[in-house]
Amino acid sequence: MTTRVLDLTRATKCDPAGGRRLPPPLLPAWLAALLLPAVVLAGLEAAVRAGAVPANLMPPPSEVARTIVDLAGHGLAGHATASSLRVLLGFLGGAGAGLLLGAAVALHRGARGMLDPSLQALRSIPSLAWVPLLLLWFGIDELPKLVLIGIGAFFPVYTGVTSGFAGVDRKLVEVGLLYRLPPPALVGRVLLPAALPAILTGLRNGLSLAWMFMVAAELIAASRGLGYLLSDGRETSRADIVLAAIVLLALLGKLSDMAMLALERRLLAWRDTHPDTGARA
Amino acid sequence: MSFLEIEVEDKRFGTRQVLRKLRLAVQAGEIVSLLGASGCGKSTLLSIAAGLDRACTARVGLDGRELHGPDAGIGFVFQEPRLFPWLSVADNISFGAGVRNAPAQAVEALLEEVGLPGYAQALPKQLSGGQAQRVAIARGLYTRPRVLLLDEPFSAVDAITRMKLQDLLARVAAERGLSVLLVTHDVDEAVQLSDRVVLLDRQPGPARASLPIGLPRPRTRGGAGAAALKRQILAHFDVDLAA
Repeated sequence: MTTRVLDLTRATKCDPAGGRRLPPPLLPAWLAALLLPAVVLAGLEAAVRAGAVPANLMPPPSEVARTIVDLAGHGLAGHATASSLRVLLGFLGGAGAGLLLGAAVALHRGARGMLDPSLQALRSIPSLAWVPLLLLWFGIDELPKLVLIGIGAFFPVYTGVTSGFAGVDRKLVEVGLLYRLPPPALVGRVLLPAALPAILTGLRNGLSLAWMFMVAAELIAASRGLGYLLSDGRETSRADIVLAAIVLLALLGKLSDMAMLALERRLLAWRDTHPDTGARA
Repeated sequence: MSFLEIEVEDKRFGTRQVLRKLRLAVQAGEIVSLLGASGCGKSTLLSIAAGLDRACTARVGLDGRELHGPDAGIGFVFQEPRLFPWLSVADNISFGAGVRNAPAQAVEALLEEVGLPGYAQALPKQLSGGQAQRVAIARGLYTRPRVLLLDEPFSAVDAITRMKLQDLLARVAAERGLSVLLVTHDVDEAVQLSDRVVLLDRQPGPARASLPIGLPRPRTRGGAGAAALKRQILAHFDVDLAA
């Protein structure tokens, strides 16, 4: 029998960081994220200039950029501010109500029995179906817009809170009970931190829907705001204005989502998640 | 009178009875192991003793007092570490004392005791399974209970860590005069740690036997006395090591 001596100097070295390391990305993350929009915009610019796409229906990106610059000198900031304020106030109201009612339903059996069936029934109503009623009740001023945005933000937050509390690990609750935490301390020290991931997801979804409902509200009746710009662009057959408003909505929505994501990352730094999975901002 | 007394008249999950007419007593400073097949109600008995399971007909007494729920005098180390992932190791350890930012010296002394010096500010996600279980043991000890209940606390750790944790438990229990009730599947562990081993039947009812472990302490592993006791325990479950 022959024996073979292994050459350990040629053996594969272990990764001291642990685990199998993924190959480094070809491009920095920010450049990779910009690549697809850049290609699409360049293609669109070329297609419009070549006459393949009618410019009155799909203005080239360069013209949309010029329109944004022009609008910046003619009250664009006011429109963006009006829309952002509506989103902020509507979201605060809707998300606040979602947090309170969600917590009450999750933590109190009586409230659950009384409120949850009705709220679930209301949830199944398409939120835009409320619009005629809101206009009848509150006219065309700010209030119906804020209420509609609030309705949009409410249900994702409510669902996030109730499902978050319902999903808390029984075993962690038992530790709290073992140490005889009174109910408020049990909520503050065990239930709330454990439910926080689902609550933050609900808040993020609620904010996203708040932007969506803001546009719907402003399309119906507004004299300021990005939704008004959309409506104005359609009525004056200015596709460049419509696209400029869409670009700004995308930017503002993305910025607010990034702020929520940053908050989520800060508050949930304790989570043991894989660094290479999941979508990033 | 015994230090910890547990009497369970009747405990059911749905229609299935898991405990019936079971009486168990632990003396002050005594280490008692509960051995029995899976599903015979060992962990349930521990939950009842800790006051976590009150949907039963049972009575728990500690040092002459009847308990009606969780008590500061009883600590519990669960089968899993059950650490709060959002709290640091230090805050997990002092969780039961109701304070955050507990005296660093007290926490560090306990971490030293369980072999994790310098880990106070680590998060649970940074710990291995054995380290997390050490933190859970430290948490169980932090409030200075007089009785420590342990539900298969070493079942999920590797053999070497298990032996170290067993030694740690024996040492701490002796130093603090703790009464310990330990649920385990491991006969060697029961012999190594216990003053007495209580054997439970699969069928609900009184304990099958209560065997004193008269080995001197500190104990060495794998001695002739331990082997004889292991054979004696296994014979109660109709297992013959020679077969």
